[in-house]
Formats: sequence, C-alpha cells, structure tokens
Amino acid sequence: MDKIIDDPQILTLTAAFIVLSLVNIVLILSGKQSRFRSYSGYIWYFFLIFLIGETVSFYLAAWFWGFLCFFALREFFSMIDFRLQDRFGIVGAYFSVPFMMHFIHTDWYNMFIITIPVYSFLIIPFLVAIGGKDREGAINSIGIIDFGLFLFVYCIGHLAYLSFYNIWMAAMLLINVVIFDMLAIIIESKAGGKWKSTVLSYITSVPVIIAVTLSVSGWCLLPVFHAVILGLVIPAVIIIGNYTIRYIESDLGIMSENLMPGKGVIIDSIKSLLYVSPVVLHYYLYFIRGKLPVG
Amino acid sequence: MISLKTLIHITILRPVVKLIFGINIYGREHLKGTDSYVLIANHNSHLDILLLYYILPVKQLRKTHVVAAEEYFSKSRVFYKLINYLFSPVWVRRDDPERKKNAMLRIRSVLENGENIILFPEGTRGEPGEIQPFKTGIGRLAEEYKNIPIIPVFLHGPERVLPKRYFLPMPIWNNIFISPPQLFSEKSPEITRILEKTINEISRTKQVIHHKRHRNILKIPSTVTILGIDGSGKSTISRKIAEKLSEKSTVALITDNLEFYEGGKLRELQPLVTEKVRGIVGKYAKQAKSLKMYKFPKLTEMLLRDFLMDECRKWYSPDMIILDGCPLLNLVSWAILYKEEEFNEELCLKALKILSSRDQDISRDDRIFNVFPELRSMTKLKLNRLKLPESVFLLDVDPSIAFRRIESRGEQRQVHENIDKLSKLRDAYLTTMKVVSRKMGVTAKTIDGCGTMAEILTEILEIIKSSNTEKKCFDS
Repeated sequence: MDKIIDDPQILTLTAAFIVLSLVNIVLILSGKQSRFRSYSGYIWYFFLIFLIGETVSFYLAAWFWGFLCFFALREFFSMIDFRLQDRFGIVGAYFSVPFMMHFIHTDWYNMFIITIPVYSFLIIPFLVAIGGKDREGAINSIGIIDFGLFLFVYCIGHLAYLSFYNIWMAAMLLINVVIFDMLAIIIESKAGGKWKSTVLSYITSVPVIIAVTLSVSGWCLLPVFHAVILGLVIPAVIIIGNYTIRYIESDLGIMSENLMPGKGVIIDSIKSLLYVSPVVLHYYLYFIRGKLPVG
Repeated sequence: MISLKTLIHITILRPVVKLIFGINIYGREHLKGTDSYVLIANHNSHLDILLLYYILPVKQLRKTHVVAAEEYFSKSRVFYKLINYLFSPVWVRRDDPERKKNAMLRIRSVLENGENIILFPEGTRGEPGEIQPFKTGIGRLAEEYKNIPIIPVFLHGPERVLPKRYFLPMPIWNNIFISPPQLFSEKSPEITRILEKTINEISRTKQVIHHKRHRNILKIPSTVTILGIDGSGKSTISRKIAEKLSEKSTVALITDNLEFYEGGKLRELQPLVTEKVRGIVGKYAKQAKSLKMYKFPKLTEMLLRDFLMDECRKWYSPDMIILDGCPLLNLVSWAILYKEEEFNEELCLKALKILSSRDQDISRDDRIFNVFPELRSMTKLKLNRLKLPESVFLLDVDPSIAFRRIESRGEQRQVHENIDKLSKLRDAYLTTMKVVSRKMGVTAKTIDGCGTMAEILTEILEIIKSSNTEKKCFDS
C-alpha cells in the first residue's frame, strides 16, 4: 500500500483517470454520449491492469488482459451468425487467448507474433472441417472466426505486450485514445459533416496528444522527438481504425441507440484501441527500445 | 438463515454462469412483488434450468421446483443426486402413466404450499431455435389455480450455447425476456394457446434478432433404403434405381462400395477415408467363421456405413442417397439371429428408438439393456445416432429361392447364408417393416421380389416420385 501512495507515477495516473471519468460523466449527463458508450467503466479496468502489473506482478496482469480479450471475443461471437457445426472452431479461437497471454508474460516475442496468424489460422479451419456437416458456408465461417480472433485477441495482445515492456507507454497510449475519443464526441456534436468533423478532431487532438505524450515522456523513457512523432501518428491511426470498425459495426448492427451488454458495449468501447496498439508497439520496438542507454 | 443450497447458487453457480456465458435480463421487475408463481419457458438446451434459476430472487431459490424428466437425468447417479439437491425437481416419468399422475399430485402440493414451479410446456428440448407446440398440462394447471400467476419467459441464446445433440458448451451471451405475470379465467386449451402466442411473440421482437448472413436453405438429401435378405437382388435393384434417378439429379449409392451417379452415369470420385476403412472391415466380416466372430466386425461396418451418409452429404452433397441395406434397420433385424426368443414388435420398436437416439421415454434400467448389453455400451459411447431413412422398400423373396441364387454365385458363403437363418431374417425384416411404417412415420412398402426386374423398378420409382412430389407441396 505504501508503495502505491509513494509512487508519484501511480498517483498521477489515478488523477488523470479520475479527470477523464469526470469528463465522461459530464458528457453523459449533457446527453452527448449514450449511457452505455461510457468510457469510465473500461478505463478503470485498464487502470486495474496497470496497477497490478506495476505493483504485484505482470503475470497476474496478463490474466486480466486475457479476460478482456475473452469478453471482447465473446461479444463478437454472440453477435455474428455462425453455423452450429462451427462450434469447434470457435472453441479453438477461445483457446488461443491463454496461449497468447503466456507468450506475452514469458516475453517470447516471436511466438507471440506468429501464434494467431500462423497456428490459429491453420488450426481453426481444421477444426471447422472436422465439425462440418454441410459444405456450404465453410469459408464464411472460417473468415468470421479468424477475423474476430485477429481483431480482439491479436490487436489487444499488442497493447498487452506494450504494457509488458513499458507500462507507462501503454498508459500514455490509453489516455491519448480516451482523450481523442472524447474530443471527437464533442466535435461531432458541434460540427456536423463527416469530413469536417474528422479533420477538425485531428487538428484539435494533435496538440493535446503531443502535450500529454511530452508530459509523460520522462516516465516512458521516450525522447522528445519521438513523442512529437507519436503525437502526430496516434490520432491519424485512431481515425483510420475508427472509420473501419464503425463500418464493421454497422454490419453487425451495433448502434449507439441499441447498445446493451453483449450487444456491442465492449467492442464499441475499445474500437479506437484496435488499430493503434499494434502500430505503437512496433514503433516502440523499432525506434525506441534497444536504442536507449537505459530501458 | 441462508441454507447451503442457496449459498452454492449464489457463490458458485451464478458467478460462473455470468462469467462464462454472459446474461442479459429484460423485464426483471416482473418477478418482484409476486410470491408464488409458475414460470414457463421455451426449452432448447440443458442450460435453460441454470438460466431460469439465475433470474430468481434469492429468497425464492429454496421455494422453487423445476419439473424434469426422471428417465433422462437418472442415467448417471451422481448427476441425478446433484440435480436433486440443487434444483429439488418434481420428477416426471414420461413412460409411466401411474407416475405421471403422481407428478401432477406433487405439482399441486407444491403450488398449494405457496411455492413456485418452473415448467417447460414444450415437454422436451426442441430443435435449435424452434418453439414446438405446447403440451396441454400448463393450461390445465392454470385453469385449476386461477389465483396463481403464470410468468412466460423467453430464453434466447441457449440454443446456440448448448444445443441438442452437441456436448460442447460455448461462451455466448444469453438474453432472458421476462414478460408480465398473467392470470387467466379462460378454459385450459385457450390458456395454452395464449401462452404459446406470448412466447412466440417475444421470439419475434427486435432485440432477439442478431446478425444474419444470407444462406441458401440447406439441402438435406432424401434417403431411400432397399432392404432384403441376401440373394434377394437388392444390390442390383438399388444400382438400377440409382441409374434411373440420377438422370435428373445427383445420387449417391452406398452398397459394398460408394458410388456416385450423375446424368445416368457412374462418376469418378475423390476417395474417402471412411469408405476405405469400411471396405477393409466389410471384407473381414465376410470371412467370419461363426456368428459370434461375425458380430463385432459387422457392427463396425454398419456404424461406418451410417457415418458414410454424413460424409457423403459433407463432401458431395447429393440430392438423394440410396442405401443397399439400412444400418439402423439391419442392426435391429439382425437381433433375431442372436436372441430369437426375445424378438418381437415391442423390442423392435424400443431398439429402433434407442439406436436412433429417440430414447427419451426409455429408462436406463429397461429390460432391453439386459437382453442386449451392446445397446447400453453403444448408448454410453454415443454411437446411438443412426439415421432413419425416409422411405424403405423390402424385397420379399422366398428364402429357398434366395439360397439358390447365392449358391449360383459360386462365392464363399457367409455364416448366415443358409435357409434356416435366411428365413429367420426374413421374418425379422417383415416385423421391422411393420414397426417402422406404423410407429416411426416412414414410408415403408413390401414388394414381391419374385417379379421381373422391370416390374419391381417401376413400382419403386413410382412410390419415390409420389413421395417426392408430396414433399415439394409441403415445402412451398
């Protein structure tokens, strides 16, 4: 307990998260945001992961990352239309989650990178073929299962890996993503058009995100130059990711009016993270890690 | 004072169900304020009971009883005791009218004590996603207890989580829709109708619908079986039928080997592993010296033959499958060679039901399991999923003629190929045909096998054609 109170980093993180939650509550009360599109719930889940990873052990934190993947994947599979005979493939998809988390916390990067695109993507079609009763719709089913696995385990796994290398980097990314989302909500409600609001939200969020990144760069061991670059890259990738996932959501029938637990709450909350976390992890691995004197 | 049972429900069952299978509840407020009620729900899966217990208020956990089929759950003793402890069910035996009456008495006493009943008015688990017509019991109960409200509940999700015939539960969200309590003053058939309508209406609401992909309606091939004792000419006839029918559609013929006909001609096929294995086992069975040695290889061959029907559908998806000897009917009829004195229509029906997994009304300690212990082991190994064909034709030939034909082939004779055993088999086939056509709803026709080939062929083809047109009318 003393460790937590004495740590200025954790205190700052708590303060930042409290401020973000308050903004979120104000947004909900003013009617700009749906009750279920609330970020305050899930950022505190991330806060818990970071806290455990920093103070207890990363092994335990990996379990919580695994649960997040499981819940997201379960929501995705509840919403899609799969054939009953595909259940072996779906169970196989669920089983890749613990493997991913194991490779993350043992720092086996190569295996982490190939587990899903190589082994899961080879085994799941095999499982679907074993359970298959009709040949119609097999390719569709395999595609759906693989896609869900890729988005909700592989992409979130990158964030988990980032938090394994550098928890403050992951926390920085998360705060940036939440700030961007909130700014986007405010701007969308003020400025109507799609392109207009997209450009506006990029322009307004870049200085804020650069500022946040710079202010925590000391803890992330992030050089100033890279902090500025990340400040420019993160909002751009979030916009691309948001655009894509929203298109997929519209096919799945996730709309802000009918969000319910099990009907898109988790997918809608974490959608901005999905594209940005692999990009930031690889940026970190390529440009920053190993090039620093310490870390 | 919280009992251990309530504690187990709150601390173990509920969190586990919530964590693994997410649960959404709509209309929880309808359960508040009412003290004694009858919950009715659609029944698709074993998970239904857990979900219905999940929505109950904690106080009601001890006071609620689910109506469950005893003969189904008593198959494992530990499981039976566990269910008995956790859900304190009112056991119903569907096969015994005396005990059925007892169950009704117990339901009455439960309701008179001011306790709750959970009832599945469909009677048994239906096909995934379908609501079967309700049984009349719920209407009679509601007519009798006019002051006890009935709460219809619609469960959406369990049919995908753990459907009938699948053993692997899958983590998928479940939605529970609770509709307001209803009191009735109508007559019982009317009440049943209203309740059925209520649940059907919820099943069509907007929240229930999830993402649907465009999908052609699955083509399930219709199966035609030619039965007959050895030497009745069934292989020749079935090949002729396959050739004839394949002029307009695709036909798979399962005889000693698998053949595929298209456009009236035999077509080359990618070989299947199951088919190869079956060939080897079949050859081994033919060399058997005694009936005892014959039993096991033949049984394996029959099971593989049945599995081949699935494989056929999976890899070739033909319009029609023609079977030279149906595994299910053959196995049942062959019982006569082993236990002649026991073989009769009743046993035949029971064996058919067990082997085609329609055995809900047959208890675990039925006499048939003592007579044929193989049935018990097959049920345990889940090998009792044999398929019932849509139409069956028996080529009825006098055993002496059949025997002469076999002799003229000049091949090595199999164990059962003598006049005595062939005539026994013929009787067994006739009994099976009787049972199948009367009790199982299959088109079955006995045809005199002594006629000319052309006569037999036209007769069979006509029946197949007429049954096919009937089906088409039904579909449209």
